[in-house]
Amino acid sequence: MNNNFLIRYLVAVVVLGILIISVVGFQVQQNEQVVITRFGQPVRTIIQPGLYAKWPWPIETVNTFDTRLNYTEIRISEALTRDKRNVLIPVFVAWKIADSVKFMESMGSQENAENKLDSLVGSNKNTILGQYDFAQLVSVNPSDVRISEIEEKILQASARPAASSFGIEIVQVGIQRLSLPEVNTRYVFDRMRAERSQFAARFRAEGNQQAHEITSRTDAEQAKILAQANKTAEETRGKAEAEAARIYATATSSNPDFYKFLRELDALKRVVNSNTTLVLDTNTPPFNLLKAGSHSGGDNPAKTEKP
Amino acid sequence: MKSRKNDVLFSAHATLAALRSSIRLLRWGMLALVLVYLTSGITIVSSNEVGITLRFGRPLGEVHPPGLLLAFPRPIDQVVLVPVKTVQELTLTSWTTGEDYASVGKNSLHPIKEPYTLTGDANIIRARFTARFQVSDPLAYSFNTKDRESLAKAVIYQCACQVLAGTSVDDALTSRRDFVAQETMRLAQIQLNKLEMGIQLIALEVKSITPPQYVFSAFQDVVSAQVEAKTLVEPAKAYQASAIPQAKAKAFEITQAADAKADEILSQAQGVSASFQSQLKEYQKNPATTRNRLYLETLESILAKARVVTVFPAGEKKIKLWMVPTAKTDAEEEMDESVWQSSPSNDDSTSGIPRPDGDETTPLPAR
Repeated sequence: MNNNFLIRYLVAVVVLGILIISVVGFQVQQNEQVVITRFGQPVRTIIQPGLYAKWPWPIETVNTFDTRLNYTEIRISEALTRDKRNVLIPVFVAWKIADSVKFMESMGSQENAENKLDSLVGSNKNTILGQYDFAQLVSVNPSDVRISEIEEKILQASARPAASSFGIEIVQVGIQRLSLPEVNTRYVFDRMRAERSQFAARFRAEGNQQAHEITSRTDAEQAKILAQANKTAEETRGKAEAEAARIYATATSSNPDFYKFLRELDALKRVVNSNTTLVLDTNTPPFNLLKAGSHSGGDNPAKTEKP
Repeated sequence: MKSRKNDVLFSAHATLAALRSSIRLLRWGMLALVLVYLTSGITIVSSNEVGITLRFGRPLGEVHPPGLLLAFPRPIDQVVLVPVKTVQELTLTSWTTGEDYASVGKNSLHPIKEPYTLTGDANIIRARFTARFQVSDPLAYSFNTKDRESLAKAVIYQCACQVLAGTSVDDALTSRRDFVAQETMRLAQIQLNKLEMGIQLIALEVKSITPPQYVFSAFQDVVSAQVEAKTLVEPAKAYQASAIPQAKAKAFEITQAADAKADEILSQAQGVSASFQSQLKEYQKNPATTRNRLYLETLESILAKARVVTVFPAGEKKIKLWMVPTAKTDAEEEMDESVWQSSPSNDDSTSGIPRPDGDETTPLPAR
């Protein structure tokens, strides 16, 4: 009986303890801030996570705020660049609650905060875009693109008012993409098409030109190679002939007359062939023998004709 | 009456006994529930995860590696599992949404329903990306951002927009497509680090990057123009590739021939000079005889070849040669005769054909 009573007593104590803790204690999570209000009046803020105690309701109330990074898209609106071009630039904001008391007092709810941020960042965006030219948004030269500078300026312009009046820290402002009003896209398309057809024409012309260039360069090179070869050939032959002349000269200088005689004989041999008809008088050897034979009556060819 | 009373008493006893036993049962049940509750904090951390224990909302020291994690039940401890080793994927398709929305002949893009961005040369471009990431910091990943995916995607879009705004459409579509991906990833990682999201990007792919369908055919035409240009240039290059070696071969042939010719000229000269030298040696031994011999040898060889007509006697009279065609037809014959007769004033010793001296016969051979 006594034992049973002890167990009951223990259980009662535990249940009572849990009850008290659940009324008086509260947890602050890692990603939260808590503002304790006493009869609606904020009395303390808890930033560190852990287990804390408070006066039970209705004396003190726990107001919990999520301090994680929030992601909010700013409503798209048309803006004008400095050179008066309409652009539509969606922007997002990454923000978190920095001062939960201020946030609680000025914003109350997440939704309200997003609306306030929307108008604050949206108007800053339009103002700052008005300080830049369209060519600073898009350029084929990446160093001319000032998008991150614009983001930074929007952030700076929005951060202070957000912190001082909303209790919000804006961590990041990001330009999501660059667009144009729908009517303008039509002109962009026309321009793109014109650009493309220009490119296409240029590629075709370049191809043609290149082909011609290659062909004619090849022809020229070919001619040059052949001309060079012919020149070399002529030179070689000329040199050889000069050398030959020198050889002839040295050889024949010992007896030019004899050389001349031999050369003439040679020329004769070459010139005369079966189509040549020679008319010779009988003084020409060997025909002089014929004439001599008629005088002396000696041996002559007529004699041999007789059997 | 007594028996009835007994009956009632008996049934009351029975009820009480039943109640007692069911209370006992309930007690055991309660105990079991308490046990289940007390062990509810024990968690298994799988191999791709780590566990973070929050005690009264505050993270306890280091993250817990895969295995059995002992923790207190709920309001005391809370276990968060973070898949640090899993490669997670983000698909970024919002720049290509609304492609079906386009109707035929519309020829414009709605900035919100059909999102797009601009390239450096103010061309409209639409793209799709896939990013893969891992958790690099489990604590930051779990507790720093409310809507992690949206924010990470927003950051990637932001960086892609910035990179594309500095790239021409041609580069973005072709040569620098990879650069766009790499640069976007690099910038996005910087931003993610700045936002302390605990995310490490592993890869960023440009899944598709295209001009809007309204101008697509114009872009296609440029591609086909490039192909055409290539088809023009290729044959020219082929011609070049074959013509030049051919010319070189020809040139080689020419110079070789010239060398051969030169050799020939030289060796001929040497041969001739050598033969001259040897002949000269003979000649010097006996000039007159050698000279005569050579002269007659030559005559022999040429007279054997040529038709020779000898004329008697030499030097005593002047010789005139007549050239008369050998007549074959009657007309020609008559003509020959008339010619013959019309010029009777010739020296008697002359005729078209040489004849023996003093002979008065007609000059032509008999038919």
